[in-house]
Amino acid sequence: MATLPKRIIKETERLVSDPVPGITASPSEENLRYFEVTIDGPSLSPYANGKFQLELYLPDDYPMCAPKVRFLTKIYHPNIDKLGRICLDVLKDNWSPALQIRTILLSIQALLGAPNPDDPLANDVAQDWKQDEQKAIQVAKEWTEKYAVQK
Amino acid sequence: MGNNSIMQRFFKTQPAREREREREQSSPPTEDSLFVNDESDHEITSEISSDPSTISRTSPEKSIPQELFESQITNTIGHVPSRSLRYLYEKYKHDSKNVRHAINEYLNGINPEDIDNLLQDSTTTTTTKRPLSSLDLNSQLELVHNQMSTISNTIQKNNINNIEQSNDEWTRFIGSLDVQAWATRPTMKPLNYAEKLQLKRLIPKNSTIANSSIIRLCTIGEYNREIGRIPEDLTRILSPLFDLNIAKFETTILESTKRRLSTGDSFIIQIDIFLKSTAFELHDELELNLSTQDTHPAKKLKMNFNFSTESAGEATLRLRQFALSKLFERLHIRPLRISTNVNSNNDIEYSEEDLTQTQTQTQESSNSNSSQPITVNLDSDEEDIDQVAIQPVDEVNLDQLKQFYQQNNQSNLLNNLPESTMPPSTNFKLDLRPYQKVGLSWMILREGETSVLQELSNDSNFDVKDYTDDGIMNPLWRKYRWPKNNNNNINNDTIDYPYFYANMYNGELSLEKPIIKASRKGGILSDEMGLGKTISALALINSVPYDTSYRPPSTISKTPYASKTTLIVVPMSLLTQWKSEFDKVNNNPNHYCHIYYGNSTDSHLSSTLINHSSKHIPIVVLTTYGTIQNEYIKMMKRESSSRASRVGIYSVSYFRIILDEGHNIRNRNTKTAKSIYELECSRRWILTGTPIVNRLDDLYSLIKFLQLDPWSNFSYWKTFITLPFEQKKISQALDIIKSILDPIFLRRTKNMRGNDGKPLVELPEKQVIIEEIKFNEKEAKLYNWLKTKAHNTFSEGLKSGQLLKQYTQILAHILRLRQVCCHMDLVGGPNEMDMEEAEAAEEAPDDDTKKFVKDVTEQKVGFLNDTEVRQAMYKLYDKVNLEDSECSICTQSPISIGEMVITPCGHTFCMTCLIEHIEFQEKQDNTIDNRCPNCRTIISKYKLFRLRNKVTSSKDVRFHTATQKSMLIDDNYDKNEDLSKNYTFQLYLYNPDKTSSKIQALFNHLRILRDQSPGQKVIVFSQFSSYLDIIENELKLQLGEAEFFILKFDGRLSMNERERVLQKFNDNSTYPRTTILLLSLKAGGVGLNLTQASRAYMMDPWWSPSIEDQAIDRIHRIGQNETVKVVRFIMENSIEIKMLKIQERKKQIGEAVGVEEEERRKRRIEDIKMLFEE
Repeated sequence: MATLPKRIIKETERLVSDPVPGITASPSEENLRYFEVTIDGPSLSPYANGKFQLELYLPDDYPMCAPKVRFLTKIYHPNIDKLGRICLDVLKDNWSPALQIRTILLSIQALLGAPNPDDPLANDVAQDWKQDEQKAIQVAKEWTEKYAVQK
Repeated sequence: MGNNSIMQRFFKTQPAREREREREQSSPPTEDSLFVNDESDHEITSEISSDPSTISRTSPEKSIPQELFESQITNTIGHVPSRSLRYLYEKYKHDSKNVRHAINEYLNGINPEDIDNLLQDSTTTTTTKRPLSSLDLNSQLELVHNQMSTISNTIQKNNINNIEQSNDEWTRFIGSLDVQAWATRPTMKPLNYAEKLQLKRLIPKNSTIANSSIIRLCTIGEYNREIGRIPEDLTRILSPLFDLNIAKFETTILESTKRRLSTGDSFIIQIDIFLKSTAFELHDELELNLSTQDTHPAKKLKMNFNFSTESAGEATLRLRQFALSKLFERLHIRPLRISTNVNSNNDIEYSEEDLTQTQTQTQESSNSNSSQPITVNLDSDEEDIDQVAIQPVDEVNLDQLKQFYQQNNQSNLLNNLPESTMPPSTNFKLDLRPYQKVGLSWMILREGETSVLQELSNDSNFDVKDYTDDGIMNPLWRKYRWPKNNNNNINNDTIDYPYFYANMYNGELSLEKPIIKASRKGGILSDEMGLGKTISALALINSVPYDTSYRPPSTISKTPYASKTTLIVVPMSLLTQWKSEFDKVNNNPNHYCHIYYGNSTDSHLSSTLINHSSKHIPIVVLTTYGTIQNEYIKMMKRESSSRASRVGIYSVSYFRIILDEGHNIRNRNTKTAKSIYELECSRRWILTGTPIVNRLDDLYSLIKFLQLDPWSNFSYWKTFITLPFEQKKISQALDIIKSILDPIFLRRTKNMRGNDGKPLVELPEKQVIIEEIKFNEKEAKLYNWLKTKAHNTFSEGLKSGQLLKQYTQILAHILRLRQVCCHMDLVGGPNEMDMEEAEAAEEAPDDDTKKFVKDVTEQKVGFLNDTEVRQAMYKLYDKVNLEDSECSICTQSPISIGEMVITPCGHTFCMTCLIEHIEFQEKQDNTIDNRCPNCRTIISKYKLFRLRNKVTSSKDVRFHTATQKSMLIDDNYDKNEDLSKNYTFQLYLYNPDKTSSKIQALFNHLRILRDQSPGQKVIVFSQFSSYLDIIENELKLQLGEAEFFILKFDGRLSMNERERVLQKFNDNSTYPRTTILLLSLKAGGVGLNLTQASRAYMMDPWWSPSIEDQAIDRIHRIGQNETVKVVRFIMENSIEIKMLKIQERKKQIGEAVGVEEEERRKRRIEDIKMLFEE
């Protein structure tokens, strides 16, 4: 796909001109389908104050299929594994072309605020979370402090 | 001579050349004429030596060729004076150790007297014997000439006396015949070798020249009595020659008889035949005869075929023709072929076959082939089926056409024309390309305006004299070389001609080249499309705008002469284009272009044109073929009652007429053609890229317009071109055409290179991409089903060997398959009946096929019934918001009405986006239901609604939705709602199976194009006009006219409509809409200039690649500045792929011209086989 579909251009323009609070997404200069994303941890979550780096890639079939999104910053979260992969229905089966980069990133942000250990991706984390939520949240905070807070 | 020595290098050994040089130095100036002539023909002597007829006449004695002899000697001892060489040769030529003995004698010293004696002797020998070989003819003739032979040949003495008495009379050797004569009375003693006899003609009383046929052989001397006669067949040939004073004969006994002869005994004589000067003198008289016959074409034909009614003069001509042609045949005298290879100056001899063709042609006449084979050829592309029966005999196939053009590309002639000719800048604004300047030079020359040319070209190197029209040889004539003879006719300095000419159609002879004066001013400019014929014509008009030689008033013609006006006749669609071109180039404020068309036609044309006082001169009158035809019809009506003076377009005689797209008059019987013939003018030009559209006779009409005598006489044309062509003597016919066209025809092609080696036109790049498309499920089903049927028919045919008989049927099958590739609706639908295919009505799809089509295309997963559809549909009217709609998939907003689709859940999308989504989902995982992207309701592509521009009354909608809203709607609601506020759109159920994969592929391209470069113009080609209809509908439905401006150009349009379509296409006001021109190839054949577009889509392949190339050339031509991109849509694994293979094959084997019917059949079968092989 040499040329960029109109939709991607439109979305990119809007992401830049009208950004979602707490989220930035800027396309890479070499590849306009590759975005560098930061998501601020939701304020009432263990991830508050953290600035999480993500990468987002729009495959050729986008928007027929979902963008590929991955955390680059280490994060302690039952739905996000060591490699930063995210377990989120709208990134999988529940993708709809009516969704956009913006909505996907918002969903991810929401996921940070509402971990769902019942549908885990990182099993160990989910286990911890279920056994001792307070402790897990503490760990999450520590990780956030350690990896996601700009010093 | 420099040239000569180069030629000799190829034919002679080094020493031989030295000898030549010596001889030149040593020979006295007096011995020039014959010698020099022979010398200049040197390169052909070697050819002649290999001619069996010459060899057969050489002496049986074994002797070393002089050539070899001399070279051996000079190789051994170096330089030897030529005279000595000759002496030695004569002395030792029969000696087995000739070279050694000769060298000995030479080294010992030769007695000069011996030389004289022997050389004299040898002359005598050679005259009685036959020449030894043609290679030594030169020296022999030289000898003969030199020595003024002492032979006691009385006839020759007479001959010489004759020449002395009157320079006008001479005879010249034409050939010898060995004849078996028979004795009519016993002789006293055996006949001796070399004894002379005399031929005497006996004309019995009560007999006319024609049927008497006795020639006596008499002894010479005091008795002078008959001893024998020559055979009947020969007598018939020779007696007219006698009677008409054409030839003279010398007879020699060739073989001594062993004993004295009894009556009936045969003996061998040799008859040397000499043509008399009187034979050539007749020329004028005959010419005269012929020209009177011109006016009576029927009579001319009778001369050849109907003996009973011929006049005495005609009888004479026929006899003459018969005698001469038979004589030449006997003597193996063959005409020289006019060299078609311009680089070599050699005239090549006609092959034996050609000759007989020429000679027997007149007799064969019209027994045209009754066994006209099936002539459908796969080249015909457009009309596949109905041509079986109607293809005319003289149809020119593509290869013949190719040959025609190759022959008539006269790049060489043009090389020397000035490349700097420009119309005066006071008249003409633009610059011309180099080749156009050359073309202009040629056109000016064709009008005989040499001084103008000199002035305009500014070319000091250019000598006009070289180009004054010396005419070309009359193609009915053939050029012959005088045979070289050893003896007798030596002293013919007066007839210093190496060649003579004969017209084998009437027996005329001439020493001078029979010239057709191409006296008519004008010609055919047939540059390939895109090379700028229009500009060339305008350049000519501006170079020679007025008739300068004109002296008013002419007494001969009553029609007033518009000496400053060129009439240009153009097809209606090009009228405006011409007008704007004229304005673009015109630089003379006093010149203007008068349009004579429609409302502006008037009867005052003549006063407009011949208003000498006016400062403004209408140097051009533009009109259309239709206008002229209309006036012609009117005039014919008037003239039937009284010969009224001519009005309107016919009221004046023009300075010049130019027919644009002149092939419009190709059929001489049409009103168009007749109306054009009727116009008067002094110079005539035709512009056409396709002088031959279908048949050779197309050309005739052009020539008739040009008034090119004698060819403008149809019976001439028919006899010499149409008939031979029909008899498959194709190269003969083409040869004659070449000679006709040579002086008046100019054609350049885009591929030709100019003097600088660069192509004439540098066009931007052209990219042709083949895009293979997959069938969708239903198409594949239908295709395979039809394919099976076709294969069955094919293998049946193959088995029974009746393939060609089932050709039509198989073609029908093939057509079906091709149709499925395009769109399923083409099969069996009413659309199928394209004009051409309608003819093959019996081949319409059988019920089987129809049913299958229906089964396949029937929807399965949709709504159960119409009620359901309506229920779902009418609910949705209020959900459609045309202005604020947004496609959540591609973010397009608003969605154009043609592209919008609405789901039963009430969400709107772009059609393509949603279909893409659904198909993507199906591909990913079949088990998952398709869901609406917006609300995740389950959707199906069989349950989607589309919109079209049509007012729907709200009443109607309310009626259908009433059940749901039922009681909720009260009167107030009704009143609030303005009744006139109807819906501007109409919903309808989308049927996904109605569209074709190919059309979708096209649309994908168009969408991308729209997004990337708005305002583009594209052309969509198809050969099925019904397919274009479908595409048009789908375009409107699926892409919508808001963003796409859709035009269609096909054969059903009137001239006016065509013009309008083209105007709209070239109009830029539609920006930024993408303009799409749907172009049917059949209709788009005329001069269309579509360079506004740089993209084309070919929806279906043609059989012949060249047709596709021509289609592409509509946009890839002069004026195109951008890279031309062409996409050819081809269905994967389909017949179309195989058609590509056939195209490839055609490119490779490049169908040779004049391929025999048998061969063509074979190829056709091969083509079919290729189509069906797996």
